[in-house]
Amino acid sequence: MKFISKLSQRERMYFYITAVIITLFLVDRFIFGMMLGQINQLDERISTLKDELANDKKIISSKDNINKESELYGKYLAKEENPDRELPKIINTLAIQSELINSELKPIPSKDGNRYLVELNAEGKMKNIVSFMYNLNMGHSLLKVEKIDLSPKAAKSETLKIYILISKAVVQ
Amino acid sequence: MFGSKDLLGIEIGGQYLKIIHLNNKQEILNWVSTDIRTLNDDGIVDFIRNYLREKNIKTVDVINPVPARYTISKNIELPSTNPAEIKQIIKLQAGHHSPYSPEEIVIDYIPIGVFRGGYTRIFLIIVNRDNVKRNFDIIERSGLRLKKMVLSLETMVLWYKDRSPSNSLGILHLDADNTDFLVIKEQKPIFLRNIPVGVEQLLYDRDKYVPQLLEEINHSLEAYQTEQMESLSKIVACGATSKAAEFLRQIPEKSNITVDIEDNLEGLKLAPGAPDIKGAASDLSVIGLAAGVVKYNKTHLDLTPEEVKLRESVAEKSRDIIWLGTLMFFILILFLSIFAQKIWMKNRMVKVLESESQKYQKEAAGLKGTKRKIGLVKTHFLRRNFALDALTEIHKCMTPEIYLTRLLIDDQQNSGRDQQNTTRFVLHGTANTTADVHQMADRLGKSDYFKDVKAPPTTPRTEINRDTRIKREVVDFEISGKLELELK
Repeated sequence: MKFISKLSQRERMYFYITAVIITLFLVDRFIFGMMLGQINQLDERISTLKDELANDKKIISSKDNINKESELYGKYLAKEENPDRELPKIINTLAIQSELINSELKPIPSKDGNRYLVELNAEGKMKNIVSFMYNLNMGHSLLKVEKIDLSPKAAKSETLKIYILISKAVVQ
Repeated sequence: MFGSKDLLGIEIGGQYLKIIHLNNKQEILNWVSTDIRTLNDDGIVDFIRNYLREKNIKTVDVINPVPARYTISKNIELPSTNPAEIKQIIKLQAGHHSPYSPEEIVIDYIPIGVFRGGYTRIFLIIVNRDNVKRNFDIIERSGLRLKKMVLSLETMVLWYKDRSPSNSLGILHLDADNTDFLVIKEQKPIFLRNIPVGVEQLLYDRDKYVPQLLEEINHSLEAYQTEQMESLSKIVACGATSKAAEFLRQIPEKSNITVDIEDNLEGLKLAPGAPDIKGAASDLSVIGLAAGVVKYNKTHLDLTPEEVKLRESVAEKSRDIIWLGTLMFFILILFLSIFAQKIWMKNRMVKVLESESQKYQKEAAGLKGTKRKIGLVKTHFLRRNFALDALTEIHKCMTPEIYLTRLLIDDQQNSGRDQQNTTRFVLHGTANTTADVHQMADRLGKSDYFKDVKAPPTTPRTEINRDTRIKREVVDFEISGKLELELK
């Protein structure tokens, strides 16, 4: 109070204006700022919850369609035990059925966990290859030819050297 | 600023102490008077304290009107029209107009008007500082806080100013122990004479004091006429008139002047439930004190001691600061309440949404998982025949003049490498002519399964048929391109 009483009228006015500005700044920073921050956080949370709720309701409204499709694709959705071990066996069976000879199977690691890969090196005629690929596609497993490389075993030969990379999709 | 308080008027006269209590509507709540001839100042203080205790009065604004008998007044002319100069002149001349030294008096004036070029007529008022100090001490020692000390004569002028818009009006103010003869003109006092005869004397010895008072009134009228060079035609008699009616009726007979007699409580209102004070106040003037209290905030003169003025000024500033602080606090609270309410509402909304969401979350999560799996299966089905179909398409595009030495179809879309490079096909082979190669490349380019088909320059060579040993010119070629990812 002594300090204020020593100030001139103009200095006192500046002092009061500064004090008011600092007070307003502190109130804004520490009270209103915090409250506005909390309000913004709540707004974001409300927005997220609303979106989630709308999505949930939307997907629940299409429940019948999903169930119908689930029934349709049910056999592919069923969980298999040891698909990595079963895959070479299936391919070997198909190769034998399609009369491919000298078949060699080599599982190779996949970079993603959604599929298993097996390399098939064999020999056979074109019709055997087509038969093999057709049977592969018609099976109950989600098998697919990822890569095929064919070349004649010898010049003008009907027997082909076959390299096929086969994948099995895993639906988890 | 915070609403008006009740007002308490205290008049400390020579023989009587009068107290009037008004509410904030300026209605009389109570009136009390006592004879103080036998009391010293301590006795007066005790009386006031007892009264406050008895009536349970705690917070009031105290107004102290100083009766006209304690003032010395003069109607004089000064050779200036500048208020500051006038103030200087009257300070210098203070000693000439009163028997007291300048330190012993409070001196002030009411300007009456400018007469003769450069001269101002003023109504000079001088009050003994001891009277002011005594009144202040008594009030403060009674536990009250003085708000303003005013002059009765000025508040009487303010009370009766509407009765004389332009003409002179005499006011005969009767009290128990004295009578004031006041003349006002154009709402300002121009003449005052105090006569030391009051209603009490009239009632005590009518034969002696009635003629004396009449004579004094006549003297006053003559003095006024001499001083102001005009005669009065009307007098308003006020104050303790109820027991002096007979006397007042004699004035017109003696001085050829009209007298309007006003009741003691004329123009005043009693608050609902207030005791009837008419009888209690019959010997004393109520109006002198009441006018002082009612008109205190309109007076030009202020006898309030400097320390009280300073105290009031500080209190006023403090009130302003407190008011401003309170206002800011309430505004802050208001904003905080609005924000707090918003936060509360939003928190409530979050809880409602969370609870609503929980109802659907589990079922929706299961369905989402199923949908995702179905999506993966569908995607697989869209692409799983691609290699076989592409092989068939290549076969369709080939002409009998072409045979292939290598066929590569690479449809690894999810290998993690660049899809543009991986989803490709490459054909190596031999054709009879370059035209055959281009024809095949064109066909492949138009197919739905391939795009960006390129056929680089062919390599001609001579081929010998192993069976016939016939030589022929053939071309080796390589056709490459990309696989169409989005099948039509």
